[in-house]
Amino acid sequence: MTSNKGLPSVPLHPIERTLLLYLSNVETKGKWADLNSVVAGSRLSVDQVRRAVQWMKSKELIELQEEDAVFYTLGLEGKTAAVEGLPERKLVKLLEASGGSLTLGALSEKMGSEFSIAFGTAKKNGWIELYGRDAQLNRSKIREKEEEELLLEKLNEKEKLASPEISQREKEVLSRLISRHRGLVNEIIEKNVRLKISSQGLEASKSVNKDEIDEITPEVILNGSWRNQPLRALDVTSAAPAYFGGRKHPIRMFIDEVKEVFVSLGFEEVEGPMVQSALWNFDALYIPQQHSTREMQDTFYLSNVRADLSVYDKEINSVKASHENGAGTGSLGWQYKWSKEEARRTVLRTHTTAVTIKYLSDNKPTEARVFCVGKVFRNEKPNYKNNPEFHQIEGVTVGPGLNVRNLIYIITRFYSKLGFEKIKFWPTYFPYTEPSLQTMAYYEKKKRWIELGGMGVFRPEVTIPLGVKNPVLAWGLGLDRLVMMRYDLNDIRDLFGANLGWLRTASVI
Amino acid sequence: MDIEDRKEDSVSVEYSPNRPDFCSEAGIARSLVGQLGIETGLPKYEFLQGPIRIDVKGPEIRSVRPYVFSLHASLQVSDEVIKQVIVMQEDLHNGLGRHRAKVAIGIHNAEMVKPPIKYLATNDRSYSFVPLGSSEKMTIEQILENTEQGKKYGGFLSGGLFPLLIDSSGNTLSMPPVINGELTRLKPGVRAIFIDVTATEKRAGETTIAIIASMLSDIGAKVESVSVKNEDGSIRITPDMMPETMRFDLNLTNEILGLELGYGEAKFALENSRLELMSQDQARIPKFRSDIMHPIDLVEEVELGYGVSKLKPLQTKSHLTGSLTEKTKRLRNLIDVLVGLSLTQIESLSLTSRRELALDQEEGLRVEDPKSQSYEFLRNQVLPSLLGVLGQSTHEEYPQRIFEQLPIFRKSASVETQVLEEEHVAVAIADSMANYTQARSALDAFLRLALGTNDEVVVSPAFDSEGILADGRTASISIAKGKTRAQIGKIGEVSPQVLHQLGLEVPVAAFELNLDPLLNE
Repeated sequence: MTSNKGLPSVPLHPIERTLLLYLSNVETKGKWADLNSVVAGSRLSVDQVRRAVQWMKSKELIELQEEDAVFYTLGLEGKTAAVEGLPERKLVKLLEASGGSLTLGALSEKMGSEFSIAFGTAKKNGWIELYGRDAQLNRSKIREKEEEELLLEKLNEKEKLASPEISQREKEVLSRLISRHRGLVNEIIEKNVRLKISSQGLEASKSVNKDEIDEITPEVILNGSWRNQPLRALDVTSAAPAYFGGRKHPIRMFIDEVKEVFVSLGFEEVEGPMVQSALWNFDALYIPQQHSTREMQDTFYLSNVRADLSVYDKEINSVKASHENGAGTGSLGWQYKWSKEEARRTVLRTHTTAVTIKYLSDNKPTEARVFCVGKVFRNEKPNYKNNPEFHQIEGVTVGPGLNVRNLIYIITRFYSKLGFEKIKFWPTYFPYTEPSLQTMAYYEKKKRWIELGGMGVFRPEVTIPLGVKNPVLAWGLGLDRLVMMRYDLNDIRDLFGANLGWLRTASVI
Repeated sequence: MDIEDRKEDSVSVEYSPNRPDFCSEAGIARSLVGQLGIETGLPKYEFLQGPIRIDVKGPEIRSVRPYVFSLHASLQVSDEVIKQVIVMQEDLHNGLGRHRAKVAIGIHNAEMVKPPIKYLATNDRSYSFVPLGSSEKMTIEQILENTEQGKKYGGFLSGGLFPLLIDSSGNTLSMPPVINGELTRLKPGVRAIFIDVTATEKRAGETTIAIIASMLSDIGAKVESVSVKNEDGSIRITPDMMPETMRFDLNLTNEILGLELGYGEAKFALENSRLELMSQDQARIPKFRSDIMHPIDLVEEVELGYGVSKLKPLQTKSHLTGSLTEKTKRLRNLIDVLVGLSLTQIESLSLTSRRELALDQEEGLRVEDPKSQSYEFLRNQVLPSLLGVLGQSTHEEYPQRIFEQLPIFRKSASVETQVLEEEHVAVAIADSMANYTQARSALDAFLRLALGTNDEVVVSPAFDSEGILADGRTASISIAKGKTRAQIGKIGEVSPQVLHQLGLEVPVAAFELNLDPLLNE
């Protein structure tokens, strides 16, 4: 497959190569350069240089120096002061205008909030003296421009002063201004990156072959340059941008798998609609019309939609008799007055058995193996365990002499093909099967028993009125929980809707 | 019966609705002693004939709540007894009694009851008595309007007739199924209970009184029967504990269980289930086991007595071959094509909200009483949910290329349920570079492999009636066969307004197709 023979020591990306060659040329070699000059000199974009610097730093091809660059700019108040003068200068002007003297009260009134700082500074500078309650100018001490004022004007003019442009004396004035009042002068600290080529980089630059082929383009293939020029080595270890291809939904993949198991066991697929009449969802299965599962609490009934059952007159008579008096099956029946109107209500099927019973009624097979996998509905408030929609897997087998032990055999085979080797059975109740059993399977990965589903032999009150003579073995189990187990999901709602992140990572094997 | 929870000195069990006789601890114990072989066979209940009589008066009661059953039980009533009796009553009301519509149970302090009792129905809404929980007389009207029970259960009494149980002192014991009288409220310390069971179905009432009688008897009460005198003078003794009979079929049992049990083994198993064989083919069933309605039910009793864990798998041979439906095969292949176009499959629900489908008040297939408005309407198109997924996935990397294949629903008189289900597929591409051309390329690629050619595909300018796709960038998709042209879908760029509503900051190009013409071809 691959060998390490003749691997180039440091694979370089084209932008790395450009930068390396620039940094190793005569003018720049060994000198520290800042990013701006590198961008200008290398003719790469700022972005490209930044990226290349990242890579080359980790390859130790360059040395980096990061230092703080300090700038000074005028704040909002500084800008005002640069034009109108500092408060103490305003105070001087006010005194000038009043002939050199004013009461403190009058000054304070005229200057407002600036008065105390103006008075303090002017006093400190010796510009004014106090006589009683009067402030008087001491003209001899007043210069036309103080250092602070000069600096403010300079900053206003240049907008920005970098640390090296400022004298030691000016720095002292600046720090006085900064500490004096916030908003006069701002100190800004920026990270300044400087770089130069390292000795390793210099070494690597010598082996950069300007004649390497960057990309295998159609021209390269056609012009034959590949015969003499080597291909530039790529950094094959660097990550590529994420690519998300298409995929099937994990639920659909699992459905495919289940169907494969059924087909391998000789089962034929049957299908039917999700909207069913109550006749096929409930009545044909000998579920009495007042049974609790038929309540709106549990079942979605379609509003204002009634099924047209006119093609089922024969079936309806048999079902009615079965409910009311056992229809000569040897059963007492449920002993109530069966209503056709109730059977005409339409429901979102609560189980796929609605489909399999219809198949049995239509085909009256003496022998058959059929299955149905599909969506079923329960009027439930959604939570982590229950969703109003989920999927059901259902198998039915008909044949002479079929019995409960055969059912246990088929189920054992079926679950073993789905990966459950250890299963156990115990009795339960369904209105349309007798005897009825349920299964638990041992889930190796989590080391615990989980409930899988129910099964049983269809009651004679179900099969005989519909013309099915031989015993019918049936079982059903939920599918969604198996998918959740496979992907370690704890919330059934995570299977549906907006879960692109999960779909992009959920393993297919 | 399943064990739900296990504690040091107790277990919680869940029982299935076909066994209302498990509604008391006594009922469960009765079954367990059989399974454990401590006490097997038919439980015997023989009650003395008591002095109480109920006279059924007038024809009206027959039309509203025709059946009445009753008993008198002497026992020391403690808090514990009251608790057990109330729990049993509630379970029976909710299950067998269909929330009192079918069967209602009244429990009374027998010491306050002065027989004989009349059972009748009145249409007089101003008739008054002191109902349970009240200190004053209330009229029927007031009870129906002002009491919790009246509001909840009064609705079962359509036709304006109200059943009443009135004793010989003229005191109203009960207005079933709504409320009892306050007079006969059961208190600790009382030494006898009087029970009335009223029903709209005879069998359900008989089962209920039998369950109550056996429970009280099991906890040590001395139960006495009550006679019910009908208008025609005929007299019925209640509770009637005479066992029912059911045909027992050993052959059927062995056929269904795959066993070769002898008569003795079957008899033993049935006795462990507290049943009894009278002869080779007749079994006796306690009155409270109304779940046994066919010989097949005895098969299960034998199975339980034999032990499910002893049933070993029995191989069955079949010459049948398995197969998938044509629809499954075609859908699978079509989905493979979409996956090959780098599209990720989304699975949404078939039920959704009016808001997502942007339906007007009158439109749409709606379900009754959904528990959440998010699941109120049957989907009539797939694209909205797909766009919803994009709207909730803005934190995921782009491009996002997704598809969904689901049936949609529409009203149609040509289907027996009046609802047609049509397999649809929708595709959406979201990316800063997404546009009509990208969606069109995907559509062409899909249809080319579905139809084997694009020659029959006609794409023509259109407006999106659902308002999702932008005007001027929307087309309808049809398949032309000779002179006929069948529209199968739409394609376009999603309008900026819809993108804005969904919080999307990238363009989306999409299409939706009806797959039925491809599946049924």
